[in-house]
Formats: sequence, structure tokens, C-alpha cells
Amino acid sequence: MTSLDDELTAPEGQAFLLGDEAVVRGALEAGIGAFFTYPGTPASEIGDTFARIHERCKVLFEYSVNEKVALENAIALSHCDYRVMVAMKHVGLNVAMDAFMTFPYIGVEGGAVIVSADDPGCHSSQNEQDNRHVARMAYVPMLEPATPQEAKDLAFTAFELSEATRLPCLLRLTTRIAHMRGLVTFGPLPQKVHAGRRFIKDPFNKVVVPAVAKKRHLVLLESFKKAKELVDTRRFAKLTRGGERLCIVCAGSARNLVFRALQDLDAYEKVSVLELLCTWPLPEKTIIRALADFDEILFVEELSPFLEDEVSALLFRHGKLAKTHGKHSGVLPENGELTPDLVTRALEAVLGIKARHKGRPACDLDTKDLPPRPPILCPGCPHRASYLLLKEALGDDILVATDIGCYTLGLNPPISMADLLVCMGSSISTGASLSAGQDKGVVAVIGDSTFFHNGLSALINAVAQRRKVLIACLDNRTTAMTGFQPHPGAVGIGGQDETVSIEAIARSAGAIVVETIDPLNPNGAIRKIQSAFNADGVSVVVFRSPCPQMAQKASILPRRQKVKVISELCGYCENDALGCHCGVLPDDGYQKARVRARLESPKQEVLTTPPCTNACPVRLCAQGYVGLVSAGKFSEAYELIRRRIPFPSVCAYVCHRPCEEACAEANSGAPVPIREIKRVAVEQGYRALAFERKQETGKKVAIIGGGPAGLSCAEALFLMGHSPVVFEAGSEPGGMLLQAIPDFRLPKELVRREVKDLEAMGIQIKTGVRFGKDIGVDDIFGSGLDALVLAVGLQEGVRGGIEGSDNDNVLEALSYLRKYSSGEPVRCAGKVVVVGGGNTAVDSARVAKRLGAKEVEVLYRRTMQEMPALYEEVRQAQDEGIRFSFLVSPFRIERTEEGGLLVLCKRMRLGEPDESGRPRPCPIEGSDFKVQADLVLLALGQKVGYEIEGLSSSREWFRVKDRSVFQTEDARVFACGDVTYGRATVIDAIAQGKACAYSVDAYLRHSKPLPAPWYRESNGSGARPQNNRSLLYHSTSRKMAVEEAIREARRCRQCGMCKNCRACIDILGCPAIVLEDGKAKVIASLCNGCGVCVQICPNGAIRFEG
Amino acid sequence: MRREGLSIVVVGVGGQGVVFCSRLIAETAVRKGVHAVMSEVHGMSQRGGIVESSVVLGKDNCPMVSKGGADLLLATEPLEALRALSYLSQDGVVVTSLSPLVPYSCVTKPSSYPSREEMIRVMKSHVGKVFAIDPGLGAPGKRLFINVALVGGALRHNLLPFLKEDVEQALRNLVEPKQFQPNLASLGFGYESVMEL
Repeated sequence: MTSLDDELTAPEGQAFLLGDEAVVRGALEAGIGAFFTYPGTPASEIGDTFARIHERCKVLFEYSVNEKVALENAIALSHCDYRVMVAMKHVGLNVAMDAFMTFPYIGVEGGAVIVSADDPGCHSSQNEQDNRHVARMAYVPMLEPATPQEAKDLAFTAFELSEATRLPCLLRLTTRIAHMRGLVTFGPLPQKVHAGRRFIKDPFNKVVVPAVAKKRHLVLLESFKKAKELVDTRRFAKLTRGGERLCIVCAGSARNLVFRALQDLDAYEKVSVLELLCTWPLPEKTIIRALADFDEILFVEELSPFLEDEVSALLFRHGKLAKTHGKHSGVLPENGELTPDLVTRALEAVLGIKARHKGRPACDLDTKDLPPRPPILCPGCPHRASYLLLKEALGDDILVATDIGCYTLGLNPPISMADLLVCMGSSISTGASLSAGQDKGVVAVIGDSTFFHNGLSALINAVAQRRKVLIACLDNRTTAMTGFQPHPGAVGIGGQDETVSIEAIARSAGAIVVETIDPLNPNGAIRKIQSAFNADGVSVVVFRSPCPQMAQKASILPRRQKVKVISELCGYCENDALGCHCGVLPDDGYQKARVRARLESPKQEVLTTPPCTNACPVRLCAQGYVGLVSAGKFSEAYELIRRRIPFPSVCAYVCHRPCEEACAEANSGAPVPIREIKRVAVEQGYRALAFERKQETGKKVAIIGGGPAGLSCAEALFLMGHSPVVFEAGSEPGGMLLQAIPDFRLPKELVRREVKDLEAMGIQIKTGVRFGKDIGVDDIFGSGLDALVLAVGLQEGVRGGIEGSDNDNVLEALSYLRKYSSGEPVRCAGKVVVVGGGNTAVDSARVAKRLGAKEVEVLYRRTMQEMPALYEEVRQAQDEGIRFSFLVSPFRIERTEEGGLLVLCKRMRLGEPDESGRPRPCPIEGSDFKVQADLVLLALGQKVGYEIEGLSSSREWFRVKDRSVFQTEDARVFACGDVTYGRATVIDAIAQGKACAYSVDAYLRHSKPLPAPWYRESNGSGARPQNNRSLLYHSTSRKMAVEEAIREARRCRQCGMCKNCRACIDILGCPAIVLEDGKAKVIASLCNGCGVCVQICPNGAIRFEG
Repeated sequence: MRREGLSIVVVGVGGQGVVFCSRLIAETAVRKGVHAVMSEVHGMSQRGGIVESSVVLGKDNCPMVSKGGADLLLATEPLEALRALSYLSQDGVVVTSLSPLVPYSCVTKPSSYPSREEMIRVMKSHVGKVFAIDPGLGAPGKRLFINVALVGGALRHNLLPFLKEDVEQALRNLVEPKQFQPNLASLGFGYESVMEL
């Protein structure tokens, strides 16, 4: 293989070169002594070629920090009698304009050629400015090649022209010329380079103070006149005679397009073509002569009507009138690059002819519906990791001032971090200004090369102006987008050496926080970013990690293991495996919450199931709705809750929170306040929802009891396609929710709302129907019933064996609560004593207090530790002034003469555990004492409450034979709720109702009931709620506000796996990860082992191989 | 070659060697004394974006091809073949890879990347002939250079005015010695396994 560099530097020959490469050859043939550049597409190849060959060619070479510095370097060396060249893209000339405009004033010694590579069509630029105007403005000659051969030849000529006129010469390329390949025949190379190394002292011509400038301007105008004469030859203005009708004037790549169009139109004989190779100054006399015979002229050029205006003016000055076509007549556009089609159409319009049918398109395929393929960050790009960290640390509600480089691709989803971009280095200045001009937080994102190019001034300005802005410098150790060129902060192989330190500059400029982060190993990064962001001044965080593409090319990419996805873990959800998937689709906000939790606790192992979900009797996924709330997605959170349970509001007020207990353990005693978060989700996201119902089976199921168990069972059976009817003895359904739990614990309208929603779904509820009285047993099964579910609860309070309980003013607590809840007048008195330790006892104590009792005392025979009542209720009661006396057991109640009561009690001590597992209370002999009372409420337990007439063996119907499937001795009859296992909590009742429905459904379809895979019988008899003092959140009448709920929800560690996950695709967006059959898959050939996916996978399913 | 020469458009995804494919064709032509110019647009395209390149043989100095001006369309990726189809004239021929590189916009919506059958159907209904190379049929574990294989496929059906040996010569001059064998193998693979659809 012959190397390009050998070919290019050979004494003679031919090669198939890029326009850019041909420029290099031309410069070599001219004996170039020094070359300066800043990379910029489409000129980068000129610099990169010189970078490789400058030593062997003895050319002084520099990748300058920016184009202005590059040009200033060149100017000095020109005055040391070097032939110099500077190459840049079009906008690069903007950066160098200050030097460029005054260079012609001081003139050249050694020839100076400035290559400006314009980009019509914005293939890789932020604008498509037409730099031909710059030549005119600066009074410098400009040459425009149309082929690589011309690029070489004109590059050579440019040096000669420059020395002959003592003016710098602009060599103007466009993308299609710079990146076109064509055969180039070489000229000879000189014996030695033109590098005189001699500076002529002439300060009053070289130091442009105003007096000197005025004088030099006259010199410039003289030089320019000379240039006009020198270029006024047929070498620079070639006329090809064809027809007389029309003459086309063109330059640069337009020339190629014109000849293509003439061939396609077979119009060679109709038109003539005047090609300009020097477009400034115009070869005036040659042009006038050439155009003398034409009355019609078509100007074919890209972008602005530069030639059109200048040549028209020239013709006008010489009294030549002609009809002109071009931009002004609208046959060619002023934007975009010229294509063969555009030129053909312009010619067709002007000549009034049509193209031959050779070029008729095969198809008019409308490609706008094809999936787009915009450029994105490469797999393993550290910028992806940096953006992710910035997002997780700062959230979405910030403004991002961005800059020019690979990282600009953060504009596209899923990163979507870019709000303003103008030019190189604008991120810091616009960012600082944005932070002063509006209230959102601002991040300025800038790359390493861009920072050195033009970021320093803006940084210093921001500090001096006391702006508050975070500057995120994404340092990938190279100038990546243009081809991995070095810059002052990254020299040496693979940018491994550092001449100038970004952090040192930032510190000495006065940034108040300067941090360095490795985006691929972000320990503590989020915290660092946040404190930098919150600092009261300019802070700079450098995200440093080498570009893997560059590192690979330089062979310094560390050997890294690729990653693989463990597909069993990808999208695993225990609830899903147990058949109770939450039914919610992947949500971006939720996924971000999960990624954030992973990034904030990188060492935390991902559990198979979240502890909160695992602890919930109905396996409602708290992780899910808490995560959604943390993302502000209240609607989705509400839907998740509602899909699983029919009583979201109820649980949000009175659930005993086994989830929070489990969370407390996981979170070292500081649980996420899940219940309050649920309450906010319901408050913000409530709406009536409709769910899909399976195909109707026609199976009729009667459910006796309209409490939480019965209604949950009914909803579940209904959605499974059966036809349940609920029979409720009371005047309205709701059971204990309405009858026993007082309104200050659970607002009745919420219960009623949820019951109404169930009815609206289509579930039949018949109220005022007492089973056994209003409907008999035979009635039920006689009417074609397929199954019966008893969910009658424990309706009757146990009076217990205390002597004297039949006294007036000794009431049963449950009926007391019922009366209160139904609005009936309830007795109250000065001193109320409540006997018992469950929620009924505490609730009735609190009711009595609210009704005006002066003193309320609760007597319980064990201690607070063993009380069945919810700890939070006891604490609230105590806050309300209710006294609790522990280890006290009444044995007799006596009337006093005044009409009051005396409760005779014994003190107790705790003995060995009894059958409930709790220490047995043992009376202490001789400890009798009296407690005075005006009203005594007995809360000693609950029992079923009534017999069912017509059922001699009715007892069987309440005895569950197989607890796991809720079936009684009669196969058709099932029982669930308090009636089966004893008094339990609301969520237990709901869980039992749903699990029972599962079992009934199996029975109805296959004659055999089955246990719900997710159902777990609660521990202990009667499902005693836990009395865990570690539930630190004390639910008071203060309700959590929305912002607080979101903040608290963000504390959720997202401990468990989840199926609603496409974080690697939707949040990370690495091109090496795709979805295959719903699971993530790594494309090994694209992966370079950066490991960001391993860090963020919320299920811990992506691991390094090996 | 015809008086109007031969216009070839090569398309694909950044990183698949689209520009090299054009270069190989152009350099082979130059070696045989055929006039050749080619265009390549690079810079942003590397980053997984679309790359387009064109080679114009035996014609003029315009390296660009108009819609309907191409005789041959080579595509290293089938979706890009579809996108560039209107470059072909009605007698034009496409030689495409069948192996998709799914763009990010489709990864998030898996159903939006067209099926292979659909893409083939559209191509066949619009152009003269459709040839395809299935990289999946290559030897597993062996790196296939699809860009070079496409040239092999085109040679097999006389879509280029050279012999296989001409291309092999040019290839030897364009790649590192270490890379020559695998590239040569890819050229052969394309030559042998190209299918007319």
C-alpha cells in the first residue's frame, strides 16, 4: 500500500486526492514554510495532512488554539519571509476577522494564503454564510477552484499572487470541493521551503496606529489595483462559446453543476459559459469582453448573489445592458447548496426547454415517513454519562446553554439537554447572561477544545460580573468531532499529556467551586454537581474521560470487558411473576426516578421484590406509585393504586402501613412516608377509571356483606367476567369503614365516592337486605347461584364477663361507634372509661373526648407493647389528652349512690405467652383499686353476630375448611374478611376479598378452587397489626403538601426490580443496546465497555462479562 | 461505458465504510484510466448518522448525482437504500445489505422499523433490479466488510466496468497489509453470495 503521505510528498506524480489534500500539495509545490489551523469541517483534512507530513517537509506546523491566533501567527511569520497558509472553515474566519481585516494594511512579505472552506447546505455547520463577501470587504484577492486539480493549481498560484500584490490571498473552497476526490497531476517540488527567517524592521508601516493605518490604506488600494490587473486574464475568466442566446456566469462548484446540466439538457449549442476562477477582484476587462455579445445572462452560484451583483454592477458601469437571471429573478435559491436538479431546473426555466428523459427518477418515494436517523453520541461516549449525571443532579427544569462539539448531540432525545447555541464559546457567555436574565437555573455545557478556543474570555467575564452559573466542561481529551486533533489541554498521544489545565484556569479566574468528575466512575458526583450548582457564583465542574473512538485509534483504550444483559433479571417483577402485574406502562418520569435512585446509591443491591410491596397483604406496589409521585405523575400513581385496590382513599387514611415498616428496616429507621404519599396521589390524581373486563361467563355469585372484603371480592369477580351481586344488610355499603371507623380518621365522603365508583363499573349492590332474614338460604341457591361468598364481618361486640356490665351507662363500644357514625345522638359524660386495647377501644375513647368528655381513660390489661390498636392511634389519643392505664383489668362494675359508676380493677403483671403468642396477663393479688366513671365503654372483641335462619349447620359456612382457598365445608360457599380469620385491618380484608375471588374464579371455571399465588396469610390469628415504634412518621391532622410529598417520594431507594423498565433505552439511549422480544440486548460489536448501563440498570440486570 | 458514463450513489450509516466503498470504485476506475470524481460528506455523519457518497465515472467533473441520475445504488443498510431510492433512474439497479441497523427512533418504537419483506417489496416495485447481500449468511465470527462485499456483488452482475482483479489491485493499495485478506474475503463473499431478489 502506498501511503498517501508518500504520494503527496513525492517529487512528481499523480494521485486521486481530496480537494483538501490537493491544497496541501499545491502549498508544498509553492514551498510553504509554515501552516496554522484550527480544525473545522470541511477544512480539517488540510491541517491533518500537514500534521502528518510537516516534519519530513520541514514545514512549521501548529494546531492553534483558535483561528485568530492561527492567523496572527501566520502574519508574523509572513513578515519573517515565510510562505504561510492558514486553513479554517467559514465560521472560523469570523473568529479571525480582526486580524484578517487589518492584515492587508500591513501587507505580506512571504506569500500568505488563507483557506476558507465554506459549507453551503450546513452539512456540519451552524450557518451557511458566504465568505466571498469577506474578500470584498477586506480588499484581498480571492481564488475559487472547482476540482481538486484546480485546488492544487490555485493554491500554488495564490502564493505567487500574494507576493506579487503584497496582499494576503483568500483561497475559497466549499464542502463539495474540499471533500471531492479527483485525479491531480503534480508539479515539481521546490529545492527548499520558503522560510527566509528575516524580519524587516519597518514600524511605521507595520504598527497600525491610526496615522500608519491611514497611510497603509492608500497602499492597500494601490496593491488592490495591481491585483485587478494581474487577475484580468483568460486564465481566471474562461469563456466556452456554445450558443449566443444566453451566457452563464459561474464559479466554484457551480461550474461543475452547469456543465452537468448542459449535458442533461443537451443544451451545449444553446448557451455559452463564462467560468471565473478569480472571483475577487473581478477580471473586469476580460468579463466585459466575454459578455459583450450576450443580451441574457444567467448567474449560477451558491448562497448569496455575490457574482450576480458584482458583475451586474460592472456591466452597468460600462454601459452594458443585459437581462439577468439568478437569485434576484428567483430561479435559484439563496439558501442551501446547489444540486444538479436545481441548476437543471433553473436552466429549463430560463431557456424554456425540458430535460431529456434520461434522468427520469425511478420513483417518487416519499421518504418523510421513513424513520429518521439523526447523528447521536457513540456507544460508550462519556458525554452520555455526563449528561445523565447532570440531569439526575439538577432535574429537568433548567436551561442549558450549549456549545459546538460532539456534545451538541445532547440536543436530541433521550438526553434533550440544549436550549441555546450560537457559536464556539457562546455557552459560557449566554449561560451567564441567562442566569441573570431569568429565574430558572442555568448550566453552560462546553467541551475541552471549545473551552480553550473561546471559553476563557467568557469565563473571566462571568466571574467579573458576579454571575451565578454552573459551567460543565465535558473534557474527552480531544477535538473529537473534527477528527481527534489535539488542543492545549490534551496533547500527546491520545491527549494524555496536558499542557494547560482547565481546572487551574478556572481557579485562577476566580470560579468559586472547581470540581473534577470521572463520568464513568461517578462516586459522589451527583452531590458535587448539586453543590456546584447551588454555589453563589461561577462554578466549574470538569467531566473528564477520554473519547473511546479517539482512544481506540490511538491504541490507548484500556481493555474493558463488554457488558451483557442477564435476561432473567431484565424486566423481572415479582408481582408480575405472581400474576398481579401493576398494569401500568413504562413511564419516563418513573424510569428517571429509578435511575436516579441507582446513581445515588450505587452500592445498594437490587432486591428481587421491593420490601414495601412484599410486606403489603395485597402486594400493592408502593415502589411504583411512590416513584411516580416523585416524578410528579399523580394520575399514573393513582391509576396504579386503583388498579390493585378498590379503596385507595381508605387505605391512604387508615392503613396500618406494613409497607412503611418494611421500608423503615430498609432505610435504617427513616421510612418513606408511603401512606401520606398515597394520600397525596389520590388527592391529586383521583378520577373514575374503567378497567377491561374479561369475557362474561354468566356465572352468578352472591356476596353477603358490603364491607371492604365483600366489595373487593365483588370487583375482582366482576372484572374476571362473572356476575357478582352484593347483599348488604345496612342502608348503605361500606361496612366497618362507615359504621365503625370514625369520620375524623376516615372522611365518609371518600368511602362513599369509592363505593359509588364500584357501582358505576356495573357491580350490583343491594342494600337493606339481611341474609338469613330477608333472603333465605333456599332463595339464594334456588335462583341459579353458582357460588356464595360470606363476607359478613364481625358485627357484634363481645360484652365480656365483667360483673355489672348490664348496668346503665355501661355500653358496648362497637355499637357506640355505630351510633356516632350514623349520626344518632350518643351519650357522653364527664368521665369516660374505656376497657380494651384494640382500635375500637381507642376510637371510642377519641369519640368520647370529641363529644365533650372531661376525662377519658383507657384501661388495658397488658402494656402498650401488646396492644392490638395501631400505635399511631394510641399516640394521637394521648396527644388529645386521653389517658392510658396499662396492666389494669376490671373485674366488676358497681353503681354509686350519686348515679355514677365504679370500676373495680386488679393490677396485672405479664406472665408466660398465651395462645395468641403474647404474654399472659396475670392478676396481682391484693392490688384491687377503683376507677371512677360516668360512662363505661366495653371494647372487648367482636364476633359474627347473627345466625342464619334456615341453616342448621350454618356454623359450617363460617368455618373455612381450606384457608388458602377460602372454601368452607360446603364447596359452593366461601368466606373471607374478618369473619374468617378474626378481626383484621382494612388492607387485610381487601387482600382476602381479592384472593377469595381468585379462588372462586378457579372454582367456577374448573370446579376446583386455587390459591392466589400472591396471597400470603398474615401472621398470627386475627392478623394483629404491628406495633412498631420505628414508624416515626406520626400521622396527625396535618396533611402533607404536594411539594413535600414529591420530596419525600424522592427518598425512595427503588429497592426492588420492576418490569416497567426500559431505562437503558429510554433514559440512557446507548446505541449499543436494543430491545429484542421485550428484553434489552447489547450489540457486542458496538459496546466498548464504558459500564454506564451497568451503573444505571435499575434491575441490576446488566453486568460486565466475565 | 456509455457516453453518459456511470453514476453510482453509495449510502449507509456512519461507521459502515460508505466513503471507502466509493473510494474503492473510484480508485479502480482511475487505475484503469477512466475519468472519475467522487463526493464524500463527512464530519457529523460519523456519529451514527446517514452517510452519502457518490462516484461519477467517465463523465464530467461534477461529483454529485441528481434524483433519477444514478445507474447504481449501493447500500450498506437497507433502510438507507429505501431512503436513497429516488436517486436511481428507472433502469437503475440497487445492491443492498439486508442487515438492519435500527436507528434510535425505532428502538423506542420497535414496530416502526420496516420489515425486511416490506422494504424489499417497495424496492422491487420502484426500480429495475434489486440485488441483496445477507451478512447473516457470512461465516460466524469472521468480520465482514459489507461495504466491500457490495462492490463484489456489483461486479458479479457486471454493474461496474471492471474485473474483480482490477478491484483487488486497487484494494491492495488502499488498505493496510494486515487488513487486505479480510477485505479480499469480503469482496469474494459479496461476489459469491449476492442474490437477485
